[in-house]
This record gives sequence, C-alpha cells and structure tokens, in this order.
Amino acid sequence: MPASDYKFWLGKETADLKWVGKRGIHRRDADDKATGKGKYGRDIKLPGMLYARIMMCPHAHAKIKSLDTSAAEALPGVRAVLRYDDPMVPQRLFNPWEPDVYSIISATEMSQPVYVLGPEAFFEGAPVGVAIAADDLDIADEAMDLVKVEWEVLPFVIEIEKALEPNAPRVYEHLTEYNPDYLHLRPSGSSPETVTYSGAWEGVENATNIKETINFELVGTDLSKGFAEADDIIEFSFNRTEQVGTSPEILASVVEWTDNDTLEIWQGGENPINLNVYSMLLGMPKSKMNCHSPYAGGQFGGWDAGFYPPNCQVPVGALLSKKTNCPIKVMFQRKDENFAEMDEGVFDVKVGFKNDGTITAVEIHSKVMQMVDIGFNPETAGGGHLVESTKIPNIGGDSIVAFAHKHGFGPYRCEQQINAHIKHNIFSRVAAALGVDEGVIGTVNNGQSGRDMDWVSEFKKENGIPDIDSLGVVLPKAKEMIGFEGKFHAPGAKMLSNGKYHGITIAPNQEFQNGNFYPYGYVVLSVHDGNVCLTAERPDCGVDSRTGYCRTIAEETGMDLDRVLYKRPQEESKNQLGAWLDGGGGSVIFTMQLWTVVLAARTLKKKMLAAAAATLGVAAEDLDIVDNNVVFKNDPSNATPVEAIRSLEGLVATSKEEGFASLDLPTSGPSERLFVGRSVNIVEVEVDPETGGVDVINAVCVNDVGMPISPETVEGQNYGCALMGYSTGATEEVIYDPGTGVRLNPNFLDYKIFTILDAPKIKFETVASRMGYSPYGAAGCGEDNCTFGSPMIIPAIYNAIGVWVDTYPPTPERVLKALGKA
Amino acid sequence: MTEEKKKSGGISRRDFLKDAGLLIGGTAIGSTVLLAACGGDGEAVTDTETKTVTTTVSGGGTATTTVTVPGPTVTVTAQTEDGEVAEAIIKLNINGNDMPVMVRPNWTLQYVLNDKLGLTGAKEWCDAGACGSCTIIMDGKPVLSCMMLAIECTGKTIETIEGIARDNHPIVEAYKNNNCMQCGYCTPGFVVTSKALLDKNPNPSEEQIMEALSGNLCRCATYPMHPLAVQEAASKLGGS
Amino acid sequence: MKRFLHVDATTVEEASEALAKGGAMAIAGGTDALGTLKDNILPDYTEVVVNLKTIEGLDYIKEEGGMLKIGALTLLDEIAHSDVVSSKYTALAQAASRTASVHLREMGTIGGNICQMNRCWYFRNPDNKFNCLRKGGGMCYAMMGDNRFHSIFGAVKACIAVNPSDTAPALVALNATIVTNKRDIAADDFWDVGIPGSTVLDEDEIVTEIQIPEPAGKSAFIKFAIRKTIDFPVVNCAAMVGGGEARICLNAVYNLPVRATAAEEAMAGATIDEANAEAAGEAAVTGASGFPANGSNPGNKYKIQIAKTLVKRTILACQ
Repeated sequence: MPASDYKFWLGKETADLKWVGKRGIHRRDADDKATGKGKYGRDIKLPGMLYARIMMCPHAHAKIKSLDTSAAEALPGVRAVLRYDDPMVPQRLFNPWEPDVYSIISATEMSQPVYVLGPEAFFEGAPVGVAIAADDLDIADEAMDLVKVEWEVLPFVIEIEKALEPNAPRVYEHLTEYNPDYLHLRPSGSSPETVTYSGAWEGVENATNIKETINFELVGTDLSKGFAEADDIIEFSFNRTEQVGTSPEILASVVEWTDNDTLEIWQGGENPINLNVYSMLLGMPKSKMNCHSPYAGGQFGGWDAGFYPPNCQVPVGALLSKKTNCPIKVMFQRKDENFAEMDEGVFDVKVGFKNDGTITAVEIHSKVMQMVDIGFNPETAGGGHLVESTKIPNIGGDSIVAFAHKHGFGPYRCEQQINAHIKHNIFSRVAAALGVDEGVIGTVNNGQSGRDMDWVSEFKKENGIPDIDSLGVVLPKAKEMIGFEGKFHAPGAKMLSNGKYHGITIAPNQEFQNGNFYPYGYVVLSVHDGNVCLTAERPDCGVDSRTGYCRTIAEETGMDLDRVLYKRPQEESKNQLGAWLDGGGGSVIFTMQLWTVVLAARTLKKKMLAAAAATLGVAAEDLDIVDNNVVFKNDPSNATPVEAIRSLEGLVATSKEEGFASLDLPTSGPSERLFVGRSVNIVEVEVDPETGGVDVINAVCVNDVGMPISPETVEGQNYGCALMGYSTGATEEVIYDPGTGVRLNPNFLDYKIFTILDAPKIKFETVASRMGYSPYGAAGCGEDNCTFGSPMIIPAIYNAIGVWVDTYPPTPERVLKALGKA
Repeated sequence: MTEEKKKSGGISRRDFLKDAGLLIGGTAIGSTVLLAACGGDGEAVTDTETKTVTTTVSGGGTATTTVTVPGPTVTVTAQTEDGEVAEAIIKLNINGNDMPVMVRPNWTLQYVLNDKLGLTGAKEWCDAGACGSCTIIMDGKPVLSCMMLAIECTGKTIETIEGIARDNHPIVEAYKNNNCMQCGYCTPGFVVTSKALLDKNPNPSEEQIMEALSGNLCRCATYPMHPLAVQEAASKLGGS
Repeated sequence: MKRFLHVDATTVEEASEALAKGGAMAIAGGTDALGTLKDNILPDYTEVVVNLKTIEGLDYIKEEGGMLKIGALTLLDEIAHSDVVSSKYTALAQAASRTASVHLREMGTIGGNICQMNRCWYFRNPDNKFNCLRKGGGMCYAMMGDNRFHSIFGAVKACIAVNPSDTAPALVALNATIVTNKRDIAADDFWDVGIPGSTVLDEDEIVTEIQIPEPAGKSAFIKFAIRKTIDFPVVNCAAMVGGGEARICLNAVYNLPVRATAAEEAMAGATIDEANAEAAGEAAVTGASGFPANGSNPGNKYKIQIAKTLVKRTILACQ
C-alpha cells in the first residue's frame, strides 16, 4: 500500500480533530446503565411470553437410558415439553470438525459440537434431553423437578495429560480416527511465508482426544544453532489451571415467530448477529431471522451463537415457540452458566540467551485444553507474541489441543493469554538470570518476526506509518509513574515492615492490532431533520462503540456530535443481510468496524456537499460542512445551517457504495499484521511468607493505543482489563471433583474474582502514536493488559520470595509449597 | 403490620407440596379458585383503599397518581389448616408507592421486582448473595434482594435504582460523569449501594467508599472510578 | 427455589411450635438458609420456612449484670459497629466485621451466623449431587476428592466439612453462653456434628440471646481468606489473653470450632511476646494432620501453616 493510502485513512492531524480523542463527552449508554433502564437479554419480556428451562446433565458424561416426562406434562401451567426424541429436534450432533459442518460454519463461528437437544452430555452442566416451557419460571423449574431420568453414566476424563493417554475415555466417539483434513486445520490469520507448520505431533497415532496438533517454526529457525550461540540456557515448566470468563448476565434468549415464519431473536451477546449457526441448527435460511441486540452483560468475547451451550438456547426456544405459538424466553441459571473455560495448559519452555539479554532461541511444548480456539494459540505453540513483537530469530515447538469431558471454549477478554503467559515467563526468567528487569529484555529483543527495530523503522517509513519508538516512549513513562527505580530489587531481597515480601514485575508487550480487514459490517447513514443518523444493529458489551462511531461520523461530516444519532434498524435490516456491526464487540472489533463507519461517513459527506452545491448553485468542491453549517471554503462566514437546505433531507449513504480504496495494509510476519504499538504493565505484590497470601497492591499501565477514539472509555477498558487479568492470574480457578468430573465451585462464593478491596491501586496512561491500522491510526486497547496482567502475578511473586510457583493461580497452598512450608 | 390470615380447614401441607396442581401459577385467578377449594371462607380481595402518590419527575416537578391497592399488607390467599401460607397478595412499598403483588413464599424479592413488577434494575448475577448486583435499599440499609423472600418484605420501605433515578439523585449523574460503567450490568447495584452510603455518611472518605462497595463485584473491573463518583455526588449534596 | 410454605412467627413459642412439626427451617437473615434452599442441597426439601424476623424484642446489645447481652436477631453489622463490643469484646466485633460482605452483614444475624450449616463443596453442590455422610449417605466425597478447604484435625463420623463461622471462634474465646428457648449452652458445647445441622440445638430450639462475661484480658480475631471480603475463612482464629487466662479458638479447620488448649496452656499467665506466641502457634497445631496432595487435589496441609500463624498473630494482637 502506498504511504498516501495510509495517510488517507489516518485523516486529520491530531490538533485538528474535534470529536475523536476528546475528553469530557458522556458515553451514550451511560444513562441507560446508571439508571437501570438499560435492557439486557434477561430483561426482555414480550406479551404472552412463556419461560423455558433446559435440563442440565448432573454427570460429566452420560446418556439418557429412559426419560419420563409425564408428570411434568401434567403440571398445570406447563405449556410444552420438548424431548430430545421429538421429531422436531434435529437428531444429530453438529460437530464443527466434521467436513459437512465445517463447510457451512467456520471454526470461529462455532467452536464446540452442538446438540440442539441431545440424548448425551459430554460434560457436567451440559443441556440434555428435555426443555420445558411454562407460564412462569417457577412452574418451569417445578416441572423440571418432576422429570424422571435414568442415566447411563459413562467414563470421563477431565485432565489434559490423562485425556491424551491412549486408552482414555473418548469425548467424541464420532472422531474415530485422526484426520488431518479437518483436525489439523490451517491456522487462520497466518501467512505460510514466514512460519511453517509441519506434520503432526509424533505421538499422535496412539493418543486419544486430540483436537489439534501442530509443529511450528519461525522461518529460518535453527534451534540447535540458536542454543549453541547462547551464553546460557534455561528450561522451565508451568501450568495454568482452568479459568472462566464468567459473564455477569446469566444468558437468556427470547424468540418469537412472526410473519411468514420469520424468527425474531433477542439475545444479549456480542455475536448474536452471526446467524449462520442458528441457520444451520434450525435448517432455515438466515434471511428469515431478525436479530435484536439488547445490552450484553459482560461477556468478554461473546457468549452466544458461537458457543455451546448458549447457542442451543435459540433453537430450543424456536421449537418450543412453534409448539406453543407463544414467544419463549429460554433462561439459564447461574450454576448452568459458570463454565466455559479458557487457557488451561501445561507448558515446557527452553530459552537460550546471551549475557546482554538477547534471546537466541526458544523452544516451546504446549499441551492445552480443548477450549483454545482453532487458529489462535496453537498455531505458534504459545510463541505467537515472540513472533509478533521480538527479533528472536529461532522460535519453534509444538502444541497439542486436547478434548476432555469439560465444557468447551468460552468467552475470553482476549484469546492471547497463553501467548502472553509464555512470553512474560520467558522474559522474567531471563531477566532474573541476568539480574535485570524485564524491561531490559523487552528492549533488547524488541522487533518483529525475527527482525530488529531498524528493519521495523524502515518498514514504517516506507509505508507512511508514523515512525515512533513506541516501547521507548511507554517504558520510561510507566517506570516513572510507579517509581520503578526505587522499587526494583533482587528476588527475595525486600521484606517490608509488615512482615511481607515486596515483589515487582514489568511486562513490555504489544498493543493488539488486527490488520487487513475489509469494511466489516454494513451501515446506513441518512440525513433527517438536519441530523445524521447511523443505522446499524450493534451489540454492546461495554466498549461504548455507539458513541465512538458517532464521534467519527461527526468528525468526518462536520456535524456536531449531538447532531449524530444512533438508530436501531427497522424490520427489514436486523440481520447480517441488513445493517449491522458485529463480530465480538470488543475494542479490536470496534476499531476494525471504524473502516465501515468512516467509509459511509465520507460517502455521505460527498453526497451532502453535492446536494448543497446543486441547491446553492455552486461547485461541491467550493463547499465544506463545519459546525453543522454548509460553508463556502473561501468565505466560511457564508454559512447555511444543514437543516435549512431541504435537498439534504433524506440523503442516504451506505458503507458499500464506494469501493474500498485499499485493503492491502502493510504486513510483516506470520500474523499478517505488524504490531507497532507497545504497552507496558507493571505490578507490585506483597507476599506473606507465613500464610502464602498474596496481595496485588499497585499497578501502572501505559498503552500506545494508536488513537483513543473515546479516551475515557479507552481508560476504562485498559484498567478494567488489567484488573481482570490480575484477578484471573491471582485467584481464579475452576475446580472439579476428580472422582466425578462435577464442578465444585460453579458460583461466585467459591470462584473468586477480585473485589474492589482486592484490586490494586492502578494508574493508567494512554499514548497516541497514531500507528494503528484503523482509521485515525487506532489500534485495539486493553487486551494486552488483560492477557499480561494474568501471567505477571507469578513473576511478581518470584521477585518477592525468590522461588517460582509452578501453577497459576498462585493460591496460598502453591505459594507455601514453593516456600517449602506445605 | 396489618396481617389478615384466614384459617381454612381441610388442606394439609402435603396437599400443597405434593400435589402441585393446587397452585396454578401465582395468578389471581388461581388464587380465587384455591380459596374456594380451601373452604371458601376467605374473602375476595375487596378491601381496597385509594391512595394519592406524589412523585418527583425529571425536571424537578411533581406528578400525582392515584392508585388503588388492597388494604391489608398481607392477604393470604392460600394456606394450610395450620396457617402455613402457600400464596398471598402482599403490598410492597417500593419507591414511595404501595405495590400489591401476588407472591409465593419461595419467590425472592429480586424475582418479584424483575419478573412480576417489571423493575429490572436489580440484576441477577450470582444468585447467591456474593455480588451485590441486586442491591436495593430496605429501611435505609443496602441489602441483597436475591437473598430475601418477597413475602417477608411487607411493611418495609424499599428503594430501588428506579426510584433513585426518578428522584435525580446526584449519584446517578456522578456515575455518568465518571464513566463508572462498561457493560453496565452491575452498575445499578453500585449506584444503589453508593446512595445508601451517602444517606448515612454524607462525606465519606475513599476508604469508607471502598469498604461500602466491597460487596459489589464488577467483572469489567470499573472499580477505580467509583470512589470518584461517590465523592463528586457527596460534594454536590453538600453544596445544595 | 423450589416451593415451600411460610410462617411468620410472632413469638419464640410460636416459632418453636412451627419448627416442632418437622420439615421446617428457621429463617432469620436468610443468607445461609436461602443459599441451601436455592441450591437444593438437602435430600429432603424444606416444607415450611419459619420466619423469626417477625419476633419482636430479640434485637439488642446491652451490658447488664456484668455481662454483655446480644439478642439473637441483632445484625452482624450492628455488632461490628457497636462501641461497647469493639472496646471490650474486641474479638467479636472484629469477627462480625470480617464476616461475609458488607451487604450480608446488614442482613445476617448473630443467631444465624452461629447456626449456619457446615461448608463443604460436596455437601453444598447444587441439586444434591453428592449424597454424602452429612446427608445420610455412605461416604465422604471430600476425603477422596478435593479437600483443599477441609478439616486438618481429622473427621467426625468420617465427615470433614468445616464450620465456617467467623463469630463462633470469637464466642468460644470470649467464653460466651448461648441462651435458647430451652436452656443455656456454653459456647464450648454449642457446636456439634448434627446431620445435616451443625449445632446441638433440637429441631424446635431457637437461639434467643448471646451472653458474654466481661473478659479478663484483651481479645482479638484474625481471618485468613482468599479475598479481603465476601469469602468464608480458609482459617480464622480468635483469642482472649490476659489476667492469667488464655482462651484461643480456631475455626474452619474442623467440623466445629477448635479450642487450641495446648496453646492456651502455653499462654496462660505467660507474657505476650513473639517467642511465646510462636510456641503457642506450634502447640495449637500439634495433632493436626491434613490431607496430602493427590493429583489435581492440592490437599490442605498448607492450612496447618496458616493456622499456627494465625494463632501466633492473634495472641500478639491481644497485647
């Protein structure tokens, strides 16, 4: 892409921006959320609506031997009982790894096998067997109690290494043999020119329950040469136990059949508009579905169409609605909901490095649990971040993804946690071996795809990207903010007056960035009453994207922000075929979708100027729109209010009218994206050596997000991500009974997320280098604070007590074990 | 509390609990049928009173509404021979209004607010008393509506987020000004808890604010902004 | 929650009569009772919930006849913020202020807190998935399963669920008496392994008052939990040391609160200092064994280390 194209998307100079990046503008969802008016999926209530529950399996693996629903059917107030053997129910498992399913649904659209309502459950808490619709929830629950089931309890396995043993109980018998055609999918988002993927893990022929296995090497890698060049080599292992995203809103879906067999869907997710899944499960075209998006209560990646079991709610509801001719609300309970794991794994790492901190070779062997999405972490065995933001020339390893009788992959605030765990643990251990802080290791190894910063700098210049040494800006700033120089010390060297050890760790990382995206989604802009209206269905998960889009439209059109309105689409356009902005509502997706919105806004402005020019009898080039007025460029005082020019009323522009100028963004490396922005996260902990208690006391994050469209929202995303990362890293863990595979802590008393008192004091600062790929140079924000916040906890503890805890989260028993006291 | 209990013979505990058909869904019709089944000496709910309720509306004016509510706080509509209540019409005093609602004993206040009265601001998150999202103010205390039975809430003064927003309490504006929300699901619980704190302590320190909010979980981790909002609201309240 | 019937008791006698009929559960603050009903953890679901909150006159804190008297329906928050409790019966105020969360302390009563059922994630797993010993079943699943939060002092009737109350050890350390509608019970004797209960109370017996004699020395309470609020204790400890006397009690380490008698002997009449406190801590865990790590179960031997630390620190806090 020529440099001029990048400049085109970059837009105005920072000093000239009026709405983008400005502080003091209320979020548009603030009132809804602060007053309780905002409606989430669970709050949707339609006239005549019935309430439905689905039975959840009490066993880790079981089949229904017999099912007696007669008493439930007889209970007054019960309106329909849907059994798995009902002819309406598709009698199959939709398995995304089977070719016929994979040809319809991509792995990222549906990450687990789905029964609409099946006879067998593959994990405790899985929907199975029967669903009941009743006049109210109380009756539905009571009816469910009256269902008599005889189970055939089957063998199960819940631990990674046991699941891979040759004779382990199989999770999906349907996958009778290893088939590279659909088990070893080519990772998405990767270019084979710079990374090679070869063959399968050598033990694969004898292993059981393998979802995916990949050998990986950065091109040019010669591990033995790299280790031979090293001054020192260290090897280490660590585990991450299961954690969950734990969406606060307990998922509910409301469905109703309307005219001509159209299915209306209300679901408060991030991706409910991905109707492909529902289309396949129900065997009906998605053009006959309309999706409405209430607010999503903290789903961190989406807990909806792409995930099982949430994605059985809509089809089950649709079938119950057919049976009853009533709208149906399918609701989970908290104990049904507290699953969906992420990033459980066992990792072995070998690192070679020189005395100045230059890393010469990294070898990684990862075994991870089923939840990891195809195409993300396994592709680099967890070395993804080393490729994306270091110059380490030799990186290789392998990864195995196992199935187990546990709930599947679920929402995550960022799927890069394993990459972050491996990168930060490598930096910390090398830093510790050399007696320096991790910032030194980050700086010495800074680069991209095995290339150094000189190459990156040249690359940026060639492509018109501002050439700022991002790490050189954010690292000193973060260190200064926390007073790092006075706080850093040798491991185990600083006991405080309260009897606790002080520890500190610093994580240099990269700001998340998606490149090469097409205008993602479809928006309609129109002029009404002198206002510009943005029409698109857009799920909201908390990043306040609607305000962000309206800011950019104001910026592009010359209208004031209060004259840009967000409208929900009308009937004909509530799905992927109509106006929509979708794809996981987080900040990265938000910035991707800025292409769409900016494209439409620029098209609209052209049309507005053309219409105004015709009315005023001048050339469009002579006019501009400034502060809601059409003005003459050569005489800005000659201004006509937009609403006064009748020819503007009713103008419409969409994001698909004009060709997209260039999609060929500057890339380098395997990820099709150059990670140019850097961020730094610093955490301090205090460790009580007599109890193993860990307090995360203080933190600083400085993030180069390219351009914060809505600065306060960006700050919220960033400290929120960081605090969530510290919480998952320090205390969060799903615990199973080894004897039955039943979850022991499916609630918020026993699954421990940070309270306001557990969260450290945190300071955050944004750096706006405008080096991101999205319009205005925006990148994603916050993900790296979350993914690195989590792995930082154990290195911080190491700095405190001088010994390594081997398993995340470092709960008291693990800390005391490391100290030899338990 | 005025309480009206009808001793009606012949129906045992077992009748209610083992034959679920006796109760049909917490509807008024169901209860009338049931009262008849109980021996018919229960009066229909005719003892009503007319009340004029004055509320503040946005902009500072007041609105007057006339509501008709059953007289007694509790009208038992189904009970065993021993007086164990199976269903009742209760009056809940919510945001200054008496709201009559048919309840079963096992319904939590949170469920009744959300599903029976359409007040969805008290959110169900943990359903175990461990997150604070369903916080309401009862007799001045911030408490968890998911961990109390609606039938035990008669005669209490209940304040919900809807009332706090209706009254334009400065805490709401302060929450908006300080961007205290991301997904927003837990936000009403924080606002209600903060309001209860300000009622009790008009000038709380940061430490006192954090202590008061320590029972409210936020998965998006908006924690750092809440003390700023509460202190902003406190200074506004102090200034007026 | 499944369906149940409901009675508002207006007197203790009325409540007692209602409970005597069987199948009933008393409810005060409801924060434990509703948890058990929501999760449907018991083999026989409660038929009638008997509301004690409608009984008047059980909500007070007063000093009378040389002792502190607290009505059973007094909220934990009121105890935590009471000047008289904080100044003279410090361990109890500290325990109340560390119980559960700030909201739950505005709901939960002292009577309810000491009567709550034991905590074990098998016993409390939703929908009675584990029909364990406490429910009349044949085995303790925690013994063979994940017992990281369970007893370190062995089992009672083969059950290793712990008593999680924060106020219980404070009452033991303060030598309290628990008054019911039937009798006076020394705190030392109040907890027992009922199935599924956790106290010695009869089915129709109701706590009405807590009485605490003026302590001879200072008292303190320390709790170790994973988070700073909301959580039940991993281990907690209360102590009263002074006037030649020492009463020290650990909780969440056994089916019932555990008097650390060896530690008490070590401290009786001894100076409160680091060395003596540390020795008392060691003495307190003599006989503690815990469970070893096994597969994914990390075991709970770490709780021994925490218990002895808390004993030491609590003693030092009585200075």
